[in-house]
Amino acid sequence: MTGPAALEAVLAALVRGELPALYLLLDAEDRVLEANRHTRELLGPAPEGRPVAGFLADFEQGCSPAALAAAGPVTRQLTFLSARGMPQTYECRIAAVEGGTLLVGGASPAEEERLRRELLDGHRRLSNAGRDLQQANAELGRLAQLKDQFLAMASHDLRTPLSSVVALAQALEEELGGGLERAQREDLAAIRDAARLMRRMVDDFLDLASLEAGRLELRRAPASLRAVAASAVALTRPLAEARGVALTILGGEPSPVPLDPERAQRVAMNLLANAARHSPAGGVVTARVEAAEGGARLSVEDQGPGVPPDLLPRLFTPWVHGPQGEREGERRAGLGLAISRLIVEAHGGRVSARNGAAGGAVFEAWFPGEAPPA
Amino acid sequence: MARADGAAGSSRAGEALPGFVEDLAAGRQPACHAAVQALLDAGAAPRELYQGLFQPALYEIGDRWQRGEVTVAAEHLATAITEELLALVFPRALARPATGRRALVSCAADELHQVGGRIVADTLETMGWRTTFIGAGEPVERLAEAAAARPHDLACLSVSIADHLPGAERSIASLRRADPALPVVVGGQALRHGGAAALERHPGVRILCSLAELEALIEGWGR
Repeated sequence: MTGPAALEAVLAALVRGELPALYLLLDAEDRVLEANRHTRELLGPAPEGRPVAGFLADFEQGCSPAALAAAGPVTRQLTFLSARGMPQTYECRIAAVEGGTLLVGGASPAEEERLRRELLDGHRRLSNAGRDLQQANAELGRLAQLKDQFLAMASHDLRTPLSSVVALAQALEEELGGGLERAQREDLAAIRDAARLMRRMVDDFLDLASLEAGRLELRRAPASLRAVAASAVALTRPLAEARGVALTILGGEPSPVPLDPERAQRVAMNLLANAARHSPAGGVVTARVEAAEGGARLSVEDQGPGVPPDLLPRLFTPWVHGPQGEREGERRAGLGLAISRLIVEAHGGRVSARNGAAGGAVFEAWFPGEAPPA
Repeated sequence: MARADGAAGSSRAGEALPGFVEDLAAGRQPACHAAVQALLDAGAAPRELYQGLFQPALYEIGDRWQRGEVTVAAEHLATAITEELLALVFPRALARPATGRRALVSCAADELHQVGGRIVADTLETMGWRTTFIGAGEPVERLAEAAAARPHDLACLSVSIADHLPGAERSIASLRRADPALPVVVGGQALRHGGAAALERHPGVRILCSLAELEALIEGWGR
């Protein structure tokens, strides 16, 4: 095949659409007369007879190839609305021919390459950042597990000697109480109280470790939340009265719900003690039990300063303290509310806290009417 | 690295492979995702997926590209989809306790493909090694910086096509500047077709032809 014949064959292949090149022949009114296979795949089937402007992405929808080529052939970028869904830009040569206009064009490989590179680079960066994050999460998980194991072991090892200190201090008080000076008796009581406080904190550590590890086994049976709350009020009253705070219980007697009474009482005591600690002398803490959402709800309302809004979302997480310092002898590790949440959630319930409309804070624990599936 | 010996023996992944290759070649991400999730749900181990699914599928796509049956864009889409799927598997790869060993894993300089290196790094994690992974498109000096920043027991380089073998030599030189004694292993699809001799001239550099060879090296480490 000679040079001109070879060129003619290549052009014929282009016109037929065997190469990825745009070929459009338009009539004098810019309607499609002829399109090659590549262009049909781009625009969709049967473009013949339709105005080419309908296939072009153009702010004014008034692009006229005939007008563009009126003064002679021009080269111009045209963006076609692809039937596959994404607009596609072609570098087009537009020329007037007898009775119409001819468009021949090719996509810009440099533009496509740049786009592909940018997308791939972005994807790689995102993918690698995701991998780093997964590695860091796994490392954090391992460290948290180590921390829990250490805490549980240390707490367990501390509990036995602390119990001995409490028991020995009590024995000394009973055996020698009458023979001691007042200051000595006070020192002995301080030793006993401090050891009790430390034992409570250690118990909290151990409970939190069990709860977070999902090792808590609830002994659930239908029980009255009202009775549980009343018992918790009686047990917390000495702590509240020592601060000049009154405890009261209101509300009705909702139907029994599946509860581990001992754990539920711990929740109620935590909420009541927390409210008493944050109440002013002369204040009243009100416990209320009522039926709600097919279960039973305990709410505890105090007359304290309320909770700063930024603290509200974190109140039920471990190691969080309210803004008011506790009195000497009442200091805790900041685990009571976290333990309460975990106990309530193990029941399938939920806890919440908010500030009351007339001041003070309201803490709620809701227990469902049916035990959650195992 | 060359086609894994373990691929044929991984029956669940082996059964899923033909359909997965077609979905991957066509860029059907949801179908690829579903296939991998089904294998994970059926209890497939990360190793089975790396050696029995991802690696042979990517080699097949690479071969199709070499024969002109798929475009480079389709090949890039297939690797991008595979990288997304590696993220599904990776949390399970991290489950093994750490051995205290650490590897620096990267692609050769100028490489656009990092998925081979990712599979190597993730395989090492399944064996209790921790990894520092440097992806494609990073300047070669990043390797030296990473090697100098913390101690590593091993460096692994991945080379996808023969054109990038000189880049691998530049990467080795960069590593050597930071740590002249660091053992280096090189693998990748490019080495299936030769080119190993030039790299093996460098002291302390070893060519590995499969993930199975890498696993054998790691299992015998320090013995």
